[in-house]
Amino acid sequence: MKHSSQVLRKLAKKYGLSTKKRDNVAMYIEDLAGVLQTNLTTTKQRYTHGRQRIQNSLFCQLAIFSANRPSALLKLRYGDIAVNLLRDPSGGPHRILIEFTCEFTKKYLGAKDA
Amino acid sequence: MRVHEEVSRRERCVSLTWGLFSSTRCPLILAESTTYIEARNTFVLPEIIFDPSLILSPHVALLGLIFADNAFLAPSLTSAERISELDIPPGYEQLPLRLKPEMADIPVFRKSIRTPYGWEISPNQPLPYTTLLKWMKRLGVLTGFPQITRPYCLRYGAGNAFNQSGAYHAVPLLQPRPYPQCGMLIVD
Repeated sequence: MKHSSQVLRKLAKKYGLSTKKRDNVAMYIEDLAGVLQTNLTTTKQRYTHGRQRIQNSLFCQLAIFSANRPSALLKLRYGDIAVNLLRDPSGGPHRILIEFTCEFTKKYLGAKDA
Repeated sequence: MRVHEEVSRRERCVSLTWGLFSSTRCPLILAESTTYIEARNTFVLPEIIFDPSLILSPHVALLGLIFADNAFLAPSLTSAERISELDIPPGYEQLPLRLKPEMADIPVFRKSIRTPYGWEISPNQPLPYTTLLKWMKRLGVLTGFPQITRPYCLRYGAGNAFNQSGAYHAVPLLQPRPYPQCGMLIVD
């Protein structure tokens, strides 16, 4: 491990790479729409199983709505999901309402919101 | 981000969701959402019906995964069409669609495993973060972002949106190059 970090330092010096901390780049809904579109239409991104493409898409959507830590969201279980059919008071078809709870959010000095 | 009152944070969350889904919303869902404000870490996803695109609708993907896993308790619920055939009994406002109790501990996001018959989805192992990171980096490159996209970028974006006084103002930081399929997609 020590050896590899030395090599990295040497390479960084040789090629004049930055040693600054990486910026926390934020992604917004327009960016996400582009990524999702690419995910569903591209043939250049291959997955080991077709389900993974949908899982990736769903993960991105849930992550941007809930602002949860990715690792907390990956632990989402079926027990944390509730699906309800609601009556629309203004008529029309019934609405499907999905709720999900993240139980694995980081907790330090008491419960912390995601 | 620090929000002094939990309610305030929840309201922001709700209003963010509403900001995202711009078209007609049924008032019932707002009323329903506010009753869940006390519940911590519970997120309500209203259904998108009249938006020009369903690409941002988690319902499509989430219901798809639930159907693929056959996770609804009612054996007749095997497709979205079957849900639309359901009716709420008179006098009731909602109909809970229960999931199988034995699937309660199964993760929604699961990893692939190699079997003698090819790749299959593991029955109970969660998807590792490293796999997701690899996918998102690749998708960012394919979409044409100059920066590296990571799952945490979504969290930062949502966090910034929460900080902006409850209203969602889109300020794209990543500058995508035009990508050809985008013409059909409209996001308000």
